[in-house]
Amino acid sequence: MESALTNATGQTNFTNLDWGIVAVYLLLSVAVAFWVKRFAGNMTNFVGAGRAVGTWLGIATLTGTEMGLITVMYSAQKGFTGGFAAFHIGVIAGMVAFLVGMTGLIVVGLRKHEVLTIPEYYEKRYGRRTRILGGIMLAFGGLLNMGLFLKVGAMFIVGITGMNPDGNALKLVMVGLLALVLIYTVIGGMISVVITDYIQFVVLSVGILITGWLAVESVGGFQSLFDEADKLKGREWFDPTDAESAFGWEYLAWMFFLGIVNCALWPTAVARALAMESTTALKRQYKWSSISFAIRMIIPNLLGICAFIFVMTKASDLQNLFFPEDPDAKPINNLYAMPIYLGRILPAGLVGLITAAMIAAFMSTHDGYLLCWSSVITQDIIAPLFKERLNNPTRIKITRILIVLIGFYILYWGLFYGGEEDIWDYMAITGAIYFTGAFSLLFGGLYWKRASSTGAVLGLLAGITAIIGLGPVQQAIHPYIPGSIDGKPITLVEDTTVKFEEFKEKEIPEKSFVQYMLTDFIMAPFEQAKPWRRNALEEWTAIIRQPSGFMQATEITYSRDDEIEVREWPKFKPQTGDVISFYKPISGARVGLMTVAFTMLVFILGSIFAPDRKSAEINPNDSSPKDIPPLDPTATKTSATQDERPMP
Amino acid sequence: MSEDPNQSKKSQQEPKTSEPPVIDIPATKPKRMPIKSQTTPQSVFNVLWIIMQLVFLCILGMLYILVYLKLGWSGVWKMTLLGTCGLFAVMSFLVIIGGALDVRKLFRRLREQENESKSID
Repeated sequence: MESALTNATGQTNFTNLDWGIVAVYLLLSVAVAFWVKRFAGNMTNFVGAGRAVGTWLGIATLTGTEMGLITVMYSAQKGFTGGFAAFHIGVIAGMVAFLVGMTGLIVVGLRKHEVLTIPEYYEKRYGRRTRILGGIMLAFGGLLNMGLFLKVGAMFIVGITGMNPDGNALKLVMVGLLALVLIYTVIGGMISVVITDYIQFVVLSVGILITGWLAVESVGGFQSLFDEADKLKGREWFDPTDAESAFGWEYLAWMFFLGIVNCALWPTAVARALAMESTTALKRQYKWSSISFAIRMIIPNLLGICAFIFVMTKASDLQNLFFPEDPDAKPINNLYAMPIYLGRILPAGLVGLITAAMIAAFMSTHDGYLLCWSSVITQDIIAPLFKERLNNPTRIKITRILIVLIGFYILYWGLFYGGEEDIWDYMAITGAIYFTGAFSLLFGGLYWKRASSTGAVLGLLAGITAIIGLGPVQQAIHPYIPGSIDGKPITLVEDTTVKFEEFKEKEIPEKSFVQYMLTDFIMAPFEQAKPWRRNALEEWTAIIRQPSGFMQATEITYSRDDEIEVREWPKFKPQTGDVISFYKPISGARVGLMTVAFTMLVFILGSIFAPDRKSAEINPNDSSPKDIPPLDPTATKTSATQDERPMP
Repeated sequence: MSEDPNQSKKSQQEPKTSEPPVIDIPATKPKRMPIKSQTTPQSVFNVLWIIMQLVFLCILGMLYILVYLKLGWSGVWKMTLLGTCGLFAVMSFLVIIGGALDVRKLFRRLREQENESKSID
């Protein structure tokens, strides 16, 4: 199967001319970084481009950061698996961004406070400990979220250029890309980011529209695209609310919340908002960018859909790769579908330009993220721990060192993470560790007077529960997931079937109406199986543990009261005496929504039962008001002006 | 007539003690009282602007519902695809032009900042 993948990628139209285009483009980007280096002298310029970005440039840079290669890849993956129904993600994102631009929800409040990062706002509103904890949560969630970027970006380049994916090409591309991004970000800071975002916007906006048009033509035109999709997949590919589709109402609700997060809470987007010259420019930026927020999902979705139709109707070799007829054969990672497809349909020259634009998109996302997380660690964790005694050159030096360290981390994570979620769902869950808490703190801080620092700390800590949404974490803690079934010793193993001591039907004790309602309400998100019934455990996960403690997880395809069947054993074949247990995986959307509700509840209860001591803020004679910072935004200039100090 | 305009102002402000104080009578212009009914507060315009945008969103939503009722999900996604691509093309054109001007403005400001910091040093 692996050599088949090499053959598949080898049939690309990518030529030496395209390599030349890519090289020239990248050299230009690095040259820009060197050229603007002299302006990145103080922290405000390095991180916030001197707060001098105009509306149109703001839109370009916001789009440049948010329409990165990773976005194109995961959206294409969603289109490949979910079809036109995946368009709802982009539609909701665009709609929410427009509403945020219209109302100024959260972002205008933050801009008025003239902060550089979100945790800086936490300090002004809730105090220093909240800033440090908020910074830690933000960096933790953000770094996990960014963990797979490098690998996915490298997969695109390998797929489209026709490199050999079976060898070390993927790893080498990862290292090469990382080196390029590190050099470029460490040197220039936010100013180079803004300028190259603009160049990228110019190339990518034209390129992606032409690519979309060519993709539609490759499957027989606009009408044929919809007809073929209907013929191959039917309603489930069109209706996002359909239970058979890859989405459903719960997913839609989760996407609505993610829409708010993407534009109003996610630090890289907020960093662009905070770099705007005025709140009017900021609102205009968001309203216009709402189109980008929609299109950045919709066109890559379209590419994924076209790739699927192309694979199923015109490329039988690819069909065998992605949907093998042999039930024992493992399909190739569907992230490769879109780049291989583009490598085949785009003509030489254009494929080089698109690849260069995508690499630039990759760089602009990475530099934005690297700069964001490293500056959060410097400004919001390290500097407050030193009680703001660090001067500007030291801060910039620390930020640059952190950029390099984070780069090495994403290389490591990309090589070794073993989760199998869709990339978009992985990112949503890892991001939720930060943004569920941040939503409560920012929304409460800006619009609720009684929000307290204790509530804030508790809310931030409650956000950690989002990590339960990750597959490997659920496997590790599955005995504690409500509804999971305790271990049973295996009595017989036959190929992919495992037998164990049979389940006996349990009598459900009678409950009072109140008990019944309460149990039902609390346990609603957790499926309770009746494993003595045929196929009751279908789509559940079986965990097999050896006496040595080594374990593996696999999905159940069929079950009876005393046996289960699986597709394959991913790590080892079980033996008699091993222990088997079961749990129903909870979807990322469900965990995310539960975490949002839980975090808000904790934040509200914490604020009500442990309010801040108001006297410390009001009484001017109080000798120790420093613990609780002032609420007046004009009183917060001190730290901003401190950041403005020029380099000696 | 002094060459220094500041000097002449100063002499006007400090009359000699031997001379009687000159009472500077300002030119009497009839004061126009602000007519309250003619000035509409900015907030009213803001609210109207927000309402207009909400109406636009509602119309768009109704259009979607009509398309859904007539053509089903397929029609909704066709309209979404064509609409967003068209809007994105227009927006790209505007951003490319406006962004280039903003880049110029950004560099002008950064150069000014650089010069200021050099002069302070």
